[in-house]
Amino acid sequence: MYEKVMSLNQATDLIKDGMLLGIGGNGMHRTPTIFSMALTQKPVKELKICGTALGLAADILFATNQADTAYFGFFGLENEAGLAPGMRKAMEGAEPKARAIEGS
Amino acid sequence: MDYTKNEMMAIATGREFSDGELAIFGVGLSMLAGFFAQRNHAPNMIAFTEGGVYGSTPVGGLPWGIEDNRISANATSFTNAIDALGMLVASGRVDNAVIGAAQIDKYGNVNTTGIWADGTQPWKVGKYTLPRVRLNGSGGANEIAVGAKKYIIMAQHEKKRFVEKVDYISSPGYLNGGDDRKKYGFPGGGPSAIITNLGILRPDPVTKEFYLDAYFVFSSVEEIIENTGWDLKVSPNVKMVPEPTPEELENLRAVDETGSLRTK
Amino acid sequence: MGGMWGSDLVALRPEFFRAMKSPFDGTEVVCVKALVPDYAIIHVQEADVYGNCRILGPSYQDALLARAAKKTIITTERIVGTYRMKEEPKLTAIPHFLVEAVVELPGGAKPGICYPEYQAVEWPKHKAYQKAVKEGQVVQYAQSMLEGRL
Repeated sequence: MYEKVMSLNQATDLIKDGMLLGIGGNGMHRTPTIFSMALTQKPVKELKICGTALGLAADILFATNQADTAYFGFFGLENEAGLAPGMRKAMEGAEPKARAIEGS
Repeated sequence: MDYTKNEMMAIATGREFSDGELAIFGVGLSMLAGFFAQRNHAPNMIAFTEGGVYGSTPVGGLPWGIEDNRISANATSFTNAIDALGMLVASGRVDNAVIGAAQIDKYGNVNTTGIWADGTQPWKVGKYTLPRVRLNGSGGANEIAVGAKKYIIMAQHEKKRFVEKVDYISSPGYLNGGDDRKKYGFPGGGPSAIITNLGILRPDPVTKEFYLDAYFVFSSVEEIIENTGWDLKVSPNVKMVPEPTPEELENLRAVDETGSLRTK
Repeated sequence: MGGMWGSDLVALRPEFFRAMKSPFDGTEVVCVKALVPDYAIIHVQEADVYGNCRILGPSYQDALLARAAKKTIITTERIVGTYRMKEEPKLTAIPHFLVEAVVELPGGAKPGICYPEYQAVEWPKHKAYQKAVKEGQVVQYAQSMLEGRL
């Protein structure tokens, strides 16, 4: 087996413009938020995001307009956290910066 | 000669594996060849079985089956057949594999379904007919034939097994040769070698017909042609396979704890 | 897939959903186009240095996601010894050969929830996020949350 430990900086450098990323977790649960936040510090853009129940980690990338497409069955934060603010800001309004290809 | 023909066959097969490959083996001879390769020169090979046992080496002898305790004892991951065959093999992730064959033809198509009386084969009659001998079926071999980037077929070299056209295709090789396989869009590339207890056959790059590439020190081109049921072509550069080195034999015998390869 | 009938998705999203006749009995079925992510990004509680991962609590669809993607990037609450996976290999959610990178990142799901390490949303931090989205200050919010770990 090969060892694969690397720093957050090195791991985020693997992500290139235009990639399709599948983001794990569900809503506010166990989503890779810190990884997402690290991506906001990098110039990467035009990302496509997919997942069964996208939540906070995915929302962050729509809030910064680094993601322009979302494939999902559900995209929200649930209960008191409500709807996904970043995604809504990107997809609503007269000039949306992102679009959704929803499975539901 | 202080090794058996089957040991030569297993070592020749093991030599076809490279370090770091994701590889799947069937039970029996193919597993011995694969784990020999891992022990001998490919320590980072990722070996798994179609039962979903990932990352283990057999303890206490050859495993009985694809989810036997001898192979699941020290696995790092243990899922199920849908995960192993569906998500890993059929999707095209596997780099290399070994399957066996009851009957094999000149395009590397493998039959493990049944032996039909001549003239009654389904492809001759035009519909499904009953075989004279019912074999075990393809198991995971079909997924491997379709999905693995390349794979090796191990078989005993006998005229009745090496036929012009198999009675039934359980696991597709190059089908009718040439571009026939490409038409179907399989994720995998097809068989890279047929390794027997007499020698090694490889596919012609254009016609995909298997020709004789190498023989062993104890066999000969004539013997191999005699034991092949189709008009076997011989490579102009046909060569002898180097004998097993003492290290290779030691590693093979360490894996083959019960000595099953030493019976013939 | 039977549940798609009745929704507008089949008619309005032909790039993703198509109806066709089943070859077995001629009934109409819906087919869905497959997605192959370049990377799956998954946060787990335990991973070894080779990339074998254990997910504690609900796994959602993360094990499936790792199989769908070409490769997986893992952030983990803690790095554990491989003996942990060998103790009960059935609990390994993601086998190492699907993983390209392992990042040791305790708190990697904050301000969200990660059972059993932290089981409640950190509301002050989440409210700060909602404010940052409104004001277009998310990059700065993220920088302060990273606390120099990048």
